[in-house]
Amino acid sequence: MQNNTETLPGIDVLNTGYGDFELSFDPNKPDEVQKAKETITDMLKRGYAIFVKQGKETFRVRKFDADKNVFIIGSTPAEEVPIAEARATAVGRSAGG
Amino acid sequence: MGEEAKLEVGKDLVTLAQASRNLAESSIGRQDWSGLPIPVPGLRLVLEPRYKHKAMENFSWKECYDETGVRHAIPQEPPPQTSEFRRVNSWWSDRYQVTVNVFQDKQGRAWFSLDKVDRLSFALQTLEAASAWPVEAEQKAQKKLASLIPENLFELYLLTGHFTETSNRSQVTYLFRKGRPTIAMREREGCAYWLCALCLHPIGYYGDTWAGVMCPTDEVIAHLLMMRGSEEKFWANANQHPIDHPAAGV
Repeated sequence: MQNNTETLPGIDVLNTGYGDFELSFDPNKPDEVQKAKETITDMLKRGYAIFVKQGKETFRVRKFDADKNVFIIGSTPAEEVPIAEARATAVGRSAGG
Repeated sequence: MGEEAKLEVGKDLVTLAQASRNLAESSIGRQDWSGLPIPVPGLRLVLEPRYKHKAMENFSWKECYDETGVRHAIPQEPPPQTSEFRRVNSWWSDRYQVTVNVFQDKQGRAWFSLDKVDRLSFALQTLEAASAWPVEAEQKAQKKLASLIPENLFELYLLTGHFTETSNRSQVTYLFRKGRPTIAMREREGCAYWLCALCLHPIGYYGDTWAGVMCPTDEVIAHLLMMRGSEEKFWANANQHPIDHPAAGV
């Protein structure tokens, strides 16, 4: 995955040192797509909250389907967002306050 | 002494904010996507219980260097003594503006103490925590926030550090504030009634401050996205402070 490439799909991760750290990938490069899939899977496993926009609304990603390369935001097929079309934002687990 | 003379300010000796940036750069390769929290001398670092670097809470700086490269020892707090008292309850008294703590001794007798939190010390300690935030990170976060809210609201945020958004789902209005908890309000018959202050810090925060380990606008973004994308989780994960509690920052 590449850093700081805003025009490409990917994930912006809120980060202590960067503000947000931009992870982007080229959907036409299989190795970058594979890396993106591994990163998304790892983030969800570690409890990161991932948010994507669909239309005017923001949704929290419930699951990631690594076979179809889609974020799942609901329970119907219409509630899937392809990773190649999304600029998501990830937030680490909350410590309360 | 000769060894110290070789240390170069800006390269070998860095500020906490520079250290935060350097650690974030090096930690991405280890899949620490959120960077690493930086302990600040004199402040208690509180991290999310399942965070993999949770042990950083126990880290304390032993020495620091001034701008000229001269080393200074940092006084260490004595280790906490084991107490014969066990805290069994505590609550905020809005009438007396204190936290009431109830303890039990080994004989089972109840004792109580009153904690008065100084609002000014919250503000001053938050200033100390700011030494861990890189300015570039805050600028980047503001750029990100500008892409998430209408231009007029972002201008309001730049001018005042606040903006509001009403949830379509619950009709609750949220006052998002830079460096302070988000205030939840409900409007009824033209009047706004506060519900509580929602305090939520991704990864961790510094105790008895309003500061998280991420720069203030990153925390505003986290609150905003959680409110929009998962409002019930926002309420579930945030600490809900009474509006008159010093932690609410009102």
